[in-house]
Amino acid sequence: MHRFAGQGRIDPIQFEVVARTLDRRFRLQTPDRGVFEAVRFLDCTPDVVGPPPRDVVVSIEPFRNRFRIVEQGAGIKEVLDARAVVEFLHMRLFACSIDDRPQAAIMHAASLRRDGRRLLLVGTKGAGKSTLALRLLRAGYEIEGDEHVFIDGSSVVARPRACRVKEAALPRHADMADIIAAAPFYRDHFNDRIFNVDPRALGSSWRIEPGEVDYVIALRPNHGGYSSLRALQPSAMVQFLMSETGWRETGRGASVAAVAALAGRVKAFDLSLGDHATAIRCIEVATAA
Amino acid sequence: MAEVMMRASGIEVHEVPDGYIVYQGARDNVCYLNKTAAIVFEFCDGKLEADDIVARVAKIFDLGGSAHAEIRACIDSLVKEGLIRSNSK
Repeated sequence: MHRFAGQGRIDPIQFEVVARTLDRRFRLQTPDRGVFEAVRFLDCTPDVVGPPPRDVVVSIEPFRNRFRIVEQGAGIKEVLDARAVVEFLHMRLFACSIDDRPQAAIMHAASLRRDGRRLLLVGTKGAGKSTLALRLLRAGYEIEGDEHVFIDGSSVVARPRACRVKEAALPRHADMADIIAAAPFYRDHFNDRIFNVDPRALGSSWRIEPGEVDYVIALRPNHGGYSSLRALQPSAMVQFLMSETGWRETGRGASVAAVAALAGRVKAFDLSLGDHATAIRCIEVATAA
Repeated sequence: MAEVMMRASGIEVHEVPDGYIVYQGARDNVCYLNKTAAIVFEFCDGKLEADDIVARVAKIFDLGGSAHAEIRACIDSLVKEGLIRSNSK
């Protein structure tokens, strides 16, 4: 029986896609081929260091010309079509993800490792985190996550999520374009594809574990321009990190302390991100010192 | 009337190599103090009057009388941010 990487047909009735959070393994099951192909966009199966995950079975069942989503035997939602299934489960996975770390602040950052050292790329949506992360992968880095990290005390851990690559970014990854284009995708509101790319498909490992951070690079987009890097003072880095951090309802003081402590420990840089070749050279020099 | 300067209640102070990060839980607000402001803040311990603090900071940085107004302005801004308050005697 034909098997897809990371997911497959588990019996004559059900297809399955697996999506990890830090503490849970969501088994998204459906008899509907169209829904299965759509939900593949949520596939996320990194090696997460820690206790074994709790299994959560989510069934997506055809029901009266729509789909009913049943989690652990209880119906939680009815939606019209496969696209709505993906949108609902995407939000559900994110909500469950942050529930796994109820005290942790959530920072907009890509997390990468090389030679036992961790590098965070911090920046707002559209700053170029994911694109730069994929370029760094080619430079020998391993990607843990490309969107969020949890700051929990002195520990940082990436939120499990495969690399999301926009169709418009494909020309910047000419050497990986074929692999990326073969990945599951979702069409955004402009009908452009967003690909869900397992880092292992690009030759990297995919392992997520909590730990310290050695370098933080604050990204400022300079699309179409040159890249340049400068050292950043801790208080300036704290201000930048704060602006890219989502805070929980409780324990904010502790989260502020954690971010401040992080800024005091790491080597911090500001990267005006233009051309990627120069950006990577800058990062290599900064992290070699 | 002498103003003795002291820290406001309900604030958390976190040191970074180049200053302080101060979180005010009640206002859910974060302030950043550079090294100079951090020193002024440290002097606000409930024992010193504002004029004493100005004089001490000027002495630490070997500043002339012309800097007193700036130091005083720093104290005023810390009061305005709610990080310190005066306890007039």
